[in-house]
Amino acid sequence: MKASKVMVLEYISMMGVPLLLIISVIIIPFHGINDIKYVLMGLIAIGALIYGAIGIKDVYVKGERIDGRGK
Amino acid sequence: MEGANRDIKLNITRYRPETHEMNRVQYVVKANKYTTVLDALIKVKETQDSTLSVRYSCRMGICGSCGMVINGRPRLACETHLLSLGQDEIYVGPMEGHPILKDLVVDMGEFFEKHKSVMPWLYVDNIEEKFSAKSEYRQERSELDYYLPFSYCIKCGLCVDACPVSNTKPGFLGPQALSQAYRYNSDSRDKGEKLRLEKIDTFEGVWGCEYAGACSEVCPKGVDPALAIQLLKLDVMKFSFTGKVNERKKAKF
Repeated sequence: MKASKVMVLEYISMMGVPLLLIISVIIIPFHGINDIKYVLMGLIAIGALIYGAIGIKDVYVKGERIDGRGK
Repeated sequence: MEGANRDIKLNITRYRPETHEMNRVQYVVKANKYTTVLDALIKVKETQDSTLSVRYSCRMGICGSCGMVINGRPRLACETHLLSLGQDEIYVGPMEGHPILKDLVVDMGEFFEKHKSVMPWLYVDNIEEKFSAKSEYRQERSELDYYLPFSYCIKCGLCVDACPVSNTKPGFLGPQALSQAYRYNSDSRDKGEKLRLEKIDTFEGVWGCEYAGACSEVCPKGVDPALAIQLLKLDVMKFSFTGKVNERKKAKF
């Protein structure tokens, strides 16, 4: 799998989760649209999980110290 | 007084490969406003300690051989004047982002392997045209402008030494190789854009960059590798999802 396919998920969740959070705050006073609120919360949860998973990948892929060089 | 000699303490970090020891040795050199760090190192080697190892060639910031860490910053020794540093005590060490061979000399083998891996040449897919071109490769001024700023790279390795990702993740292609990938991708005479974009679309390629920007800060030639990498990210993303390469590349021949 190309790295760009993972990165686009990271960018979408990076931008999308805060955006959905703002929308969910705005629609709090509106009653009778609970279904939409649940869908939004679901999307926020999925986005946060994806972003978290990619964040963990970043820690291990980018953050590790490999001492194979320059000893 | 402009031409007056001043005593400068030169603290050189020395590495002895036979004992794997690193220590700092102090030499005192006389310097005027024209004296570069490289001049001082050559003077030390000629008059005080002939065992000091330093790599240099052109002495005028063209060959990129004398890259080292001077007062904590990667610089070219031939372009750094001792008095311009504004201190009586100067610290000189090897670039630790590359394997150290001896004293101030580092191994650039891996650096050039990574450079080669992005095909830093004008790729022509038509063998017939490659060996017997029917016409000149003409370029408009606007086409030249796309890659010219990135073609000033002298392969000194200072950007790789400054890059925090290159220093912690040896597999990362590094700012030099990636900026050269962008340089050749932006050349209207080149046909290898797809091959390069496929190669660098990895976490050790273009996506390894964390955009610290240190590479662009230390480049002695004003190349902006950090910008090149961010532009490459856009090109890679576009190619990955649409299969199209950058529209600005329109061959005129």
